[in-house]
Amino acid sequence: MGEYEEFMQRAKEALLQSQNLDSWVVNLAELIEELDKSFNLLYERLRELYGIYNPELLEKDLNKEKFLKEVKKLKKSEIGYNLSEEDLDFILDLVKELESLLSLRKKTEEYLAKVVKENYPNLYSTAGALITAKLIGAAGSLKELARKPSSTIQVYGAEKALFRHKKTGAKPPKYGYILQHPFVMSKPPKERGKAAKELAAKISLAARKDYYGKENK
Amino acid sequence: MVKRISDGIYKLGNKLVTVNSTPGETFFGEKIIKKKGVEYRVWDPRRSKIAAAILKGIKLPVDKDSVVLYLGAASGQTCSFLSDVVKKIYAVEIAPRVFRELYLLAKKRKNILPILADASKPESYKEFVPKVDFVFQDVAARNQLQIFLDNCRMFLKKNGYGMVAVKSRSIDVTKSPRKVFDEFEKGLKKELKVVSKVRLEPFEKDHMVFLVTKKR
Repeated sequence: MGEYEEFMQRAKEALLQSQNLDSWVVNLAELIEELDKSFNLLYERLRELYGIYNPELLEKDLNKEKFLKEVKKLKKSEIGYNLSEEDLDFILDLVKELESLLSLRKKTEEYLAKVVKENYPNLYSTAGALITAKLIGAAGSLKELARKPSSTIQVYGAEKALFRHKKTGAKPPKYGYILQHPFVMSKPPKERGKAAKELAAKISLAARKDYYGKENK
Repeated sequence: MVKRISDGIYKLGNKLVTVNSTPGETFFGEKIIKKKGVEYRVWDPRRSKIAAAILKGIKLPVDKDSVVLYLGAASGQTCSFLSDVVKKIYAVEIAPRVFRELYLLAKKRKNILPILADASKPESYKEFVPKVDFVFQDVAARNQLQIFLDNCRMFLKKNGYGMVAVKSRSIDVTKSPRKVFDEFEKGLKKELKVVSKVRLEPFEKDHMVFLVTKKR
């Protein structure tokens, strides 16, 4: 084998190693975030458009699914501008797109949960699918995550606050991504720091189990 | 009118070009100019710091026999132009995401030898890479001076040249670019001799390229 072939072979192996399930899961989590962002953007625009026809609906406190359902009834309010059939068809088209975004988000979430449950069972049961994916993304890989101290895991996702603390001596962050976990979220603000510390410790154990161990705990 | 700048590098009008070593094939949507049966690829100074440096008057010390070590190859855009000019390029890149493209480029151009490694750990590729004639670095990292010095010490031939692109903002955003460049130059001078230097305005903002040799 010549020098060129040797380099290509080595490069190929390194590439194959770098592209693994970790990046798949991390990208799925990113996808969910982006779906949320796009949905919210388009949803806001729909509200503005439909508000011209039926401003009263905006005043009601409806969740997204209910609002879309109400829009489909196309009920005009007395202070609304009279839109033509064609205009209303256009509104319905937009609603259809938004509904499909919602269903894609739901599917992605279920799929992510399935993948994480199968491949990182211990992390799944301690941190949940989305937080697992985000933590793996922050650390770079499961291998790296398993090697991190729990104090690092605790503040992943709060890098800005962490470096502000290091630079200026401001208060250190108490939690990053793991704040989204119900175990932390459900606590009153004063206890969240402690809860985060506790959860981070368990997550770091789970990550090690998932990386170095074989069976579920 | 074809004006020769140095071996393999020409100017057509106001455009910098190299002779395409894979005629009929381009890699990054670069423009092609055909003249008297020769196919030239246009080298965009806004997308390549070497091209910018050449247009700003730096003389690139390479020819068709040169062996190059390229640190921070990214997807290989600049590499592809160097590969039109030199004999062989060892291209180091750390990020798998862009290394993919570099790998695919190397498949088409067999004088590019891709290495997926961290340039700040030259020991990791020391056993495959021989001494080279030219080290180029474009890594935009805080410790890029150290990385450059380490690699030059390890891989640069006695009479070889090194070139480094410095982005002052990735070293320290709070300091003025001039101050960052001065400090960088001081650091270079501890081990190397600075032959020439040039700011890359208007092609890049707050960038400077240094051309160095080993101290004799």
